Amino acid sequence: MEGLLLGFQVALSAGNLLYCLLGALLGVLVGILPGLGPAASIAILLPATFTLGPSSAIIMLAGIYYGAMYGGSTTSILVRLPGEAASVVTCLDGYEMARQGRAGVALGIAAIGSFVAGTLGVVALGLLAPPLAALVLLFGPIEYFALMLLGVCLVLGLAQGSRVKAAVMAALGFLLGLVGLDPVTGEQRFTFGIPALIDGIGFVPVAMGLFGIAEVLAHAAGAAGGPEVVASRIGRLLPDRQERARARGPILRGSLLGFLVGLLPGGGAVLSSFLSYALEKRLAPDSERFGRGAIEGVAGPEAANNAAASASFIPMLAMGIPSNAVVALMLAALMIHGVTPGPLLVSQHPDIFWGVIASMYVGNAILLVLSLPLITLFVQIARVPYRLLGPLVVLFSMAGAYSLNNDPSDVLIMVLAGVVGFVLRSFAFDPAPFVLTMVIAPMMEIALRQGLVVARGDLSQFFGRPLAALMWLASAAVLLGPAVGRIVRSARADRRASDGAR
Amino acid sequence: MSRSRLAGINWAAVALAGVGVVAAVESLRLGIGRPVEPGPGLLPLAAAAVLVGSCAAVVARDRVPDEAVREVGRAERLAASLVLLCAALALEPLGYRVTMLSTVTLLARVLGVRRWLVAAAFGAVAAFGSDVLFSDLLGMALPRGSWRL
Repeated sequence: MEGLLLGFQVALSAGNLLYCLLGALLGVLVGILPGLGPAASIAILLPATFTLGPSSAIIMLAGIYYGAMYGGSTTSILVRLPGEAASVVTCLDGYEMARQGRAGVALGIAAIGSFVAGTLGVVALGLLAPPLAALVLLFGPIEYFALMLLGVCLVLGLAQGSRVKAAVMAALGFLLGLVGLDPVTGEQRFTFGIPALIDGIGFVPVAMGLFGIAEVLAHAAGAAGGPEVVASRIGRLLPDRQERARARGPILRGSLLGFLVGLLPGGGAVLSSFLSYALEKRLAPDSERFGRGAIEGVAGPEAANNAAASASFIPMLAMGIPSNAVVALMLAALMIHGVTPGPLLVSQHPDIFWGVIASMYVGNAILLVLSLPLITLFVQIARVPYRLLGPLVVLFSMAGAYSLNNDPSDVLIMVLAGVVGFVLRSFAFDPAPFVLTMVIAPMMEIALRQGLVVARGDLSQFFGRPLAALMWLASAAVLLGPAVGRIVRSARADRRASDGAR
Repeated sequence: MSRSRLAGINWAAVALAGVGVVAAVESLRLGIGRPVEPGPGLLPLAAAAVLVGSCAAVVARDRVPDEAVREVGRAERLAASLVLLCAALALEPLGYRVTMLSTVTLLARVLGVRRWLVAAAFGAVAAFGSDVLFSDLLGMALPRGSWRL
């Protein structure tokens, strides 16, 4: 309770309140503008936060993240064009509601569901993160290594698309994360005599390239002209009694599901919104309404993606492990400010830990108050064409990358990362595993080497300690589970076929 | 899937595998050490092995859905990439304002602004406006170039 009070003191200070508001509004803007997701925006805005204190910086970046979750639903409902990936599923029923003249109700329930889920998520974050951090204090380097490996396995297991391609990206990110001086011997690694690489490859320019520049390249030769907004009239915003009754269950279930999925590395808002939609469709007695304007199809996924956004902060704040690309960027931001997230964060920097949690609560309230009356304005913003937005993204990215160290090589690294990232993305290589492993590679290496020294080279200790063993088993289950499942199903099918033949 | 796409994915995987081989050789040169005293090449070697192995698996069993990739606009994307690379190289010698004026103008054209005049006007407003914002208001030190433009 004392911690939360301290958090509110930090979050409600004039400066942080302003950064929270600014971040939340920027996030809504980012969510509304198609093709400019939260990862790209946070990457582009990271350099701008370097002049702020660590708590102000993370409060603003967190605001962008959950603000984007709010804003993403607007274009999904009105334009059938998701502002960010987590709102894709909202298109299905939200757009249909808009076509039926119920755009206001769809937007209203999306905002209310997001607020309820965001608030519940923040409460759970405040309750769960400190005990989890205390538990993690029991971890030695061996357990920590096993935990980070489990994180990588979960990222691979829950990857969008091919797991093999996710493994390619994860390994590549890992290698790039290890470029520079060896932390133990001080030997140069993979620098090939290039002085700019001695300090390692900057994470921020690489992330700006992968998310910002690659997005612009993906839009090159895209459609000219802005998206067409379907709803000329928004109509009433608040749902009636029957609609509220229908939405209540999906919002609560979506909040819980989103929170649980958001805790998993690689889970996040996108997966949770799809799972929530599938769950609501399965639970509904009249599932044929889904896809034709069912309010549950908007309420559940919108609640789920916001709860997941809050929950994804738990592994980062309590364990120092990012669960998705956006949180990885925030982890990098904290580390640039000299703050190491992890189990000691609560005791060493309670102002940052509790300040971020309280600011998310405040931010959710700000978003609810602002988003409903500003919906008409958001509709106008959604009409900004990418032919104007794209060059501005490049301009901000270039200025931001240069300002990191006043060094043009950072700009070159960003552009190269963007071009390579775009090429790989066009072959369906997801950049998220790359970003995650690039951030945790140095931490994982230190844990492994410390663990080997502590164990005096005895590898059996890596598998013999109970907590570590548990995490190795979980890693194996995540990686091998689907393959084993396929083999079992195929064996059963063969047996049934042979029984039938007899 | 078209033959060219399959070839493209294979080339990408082969190129990445090449990166993995170089990393593996370099890791071995750095030394993987002993279990009691691990060397700087240990974890990079493991990552390089995963990279090479997974690239081989991509080549062997690639199944990318056709709809995942849009074949249109290859020339525009190439043009945009070249504009960006030139901008990164020109930023310091030409300065922020000139580089951004030309970059935004060219990108606006590539991304769909039909008239050169409109693109140039947009580029000028964006370049000079952002320079005022970044340099004068936020105090960022942006490059001025050899001609101090």
